[in-house]
Amino acid sequence: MTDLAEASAWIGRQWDSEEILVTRHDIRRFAYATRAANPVHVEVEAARAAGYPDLVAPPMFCIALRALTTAIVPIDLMGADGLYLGELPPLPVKRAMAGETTLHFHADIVAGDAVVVRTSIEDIYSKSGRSGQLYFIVFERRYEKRGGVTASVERSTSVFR
Amino acid sequence: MTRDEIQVGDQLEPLSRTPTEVDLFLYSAALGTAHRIHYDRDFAREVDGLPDLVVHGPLQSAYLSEFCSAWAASVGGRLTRLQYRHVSAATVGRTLVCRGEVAAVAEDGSVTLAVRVETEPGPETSTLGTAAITFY
Repeated sequence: MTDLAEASAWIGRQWDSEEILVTRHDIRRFAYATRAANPVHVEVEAARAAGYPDLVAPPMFCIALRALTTAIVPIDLMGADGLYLGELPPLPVKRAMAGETTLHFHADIVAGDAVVVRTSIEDIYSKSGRSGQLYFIVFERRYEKRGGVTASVERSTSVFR
Repeated sequence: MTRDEIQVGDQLEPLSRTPTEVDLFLYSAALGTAHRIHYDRDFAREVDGLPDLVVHGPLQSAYLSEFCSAWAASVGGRLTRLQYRHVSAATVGRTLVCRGEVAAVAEDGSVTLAVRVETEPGPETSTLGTAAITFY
């Protein structure tokens, strides 16, 4: 398992995204795409009446923020499947699948917030599966608002083969 | 129902969504992802061996989060944790039904829900998870 030994050096690696400015348009686009029915996501007056300073994002909006920091790359960097897997540890893998995800929601994201996605690799391990060797990378992503408030923390396992 | 009446086994009002190609397009656009299995039917079938275009896993999770948040709001609580895994592909045009029940009530009153997304007709489970509802 020399391949895993080399990849394991990536455990503990951390990096931050650029700061993302969250607009009303971003929140509305996500809310409409997910058919979120609560008007606090799309109508400023409804959001203010409910005590928010501006439009409030649905909880899963953080996934969109993460994608916007990783998926938007030149087309030439994408695979034939349209995916860009990002910079990954050196593993003999071709395909990625989503594993388990746990999200903790601490504070709301509202229009006007600026958010940084702080990513770290928590673990890398491998298992023998029916279709060959499977590799697991456990990521932690902290969505931190300007001022230091953590909006949410996501722990997710990506499975590669 | 009030917070004090919550009991293990209580069923949540199901939430149904039937995502079309338009839903998949808008969700891909909201994330900036160009993954072909969400818009290129030939690619999904011939290259990835899928039966049809696939509904994004986190789009199903977004339905689940709304399902849980709505119940939480109805009892004066708030969704503070959502855990999920996608166990089978859900294809476009099928009805996805979010279902759940109260799995545990802690001493401090916080509630754990067992939740899932089922595709209909079937039903077949596409996403399984748990959620925590906290009161403050």
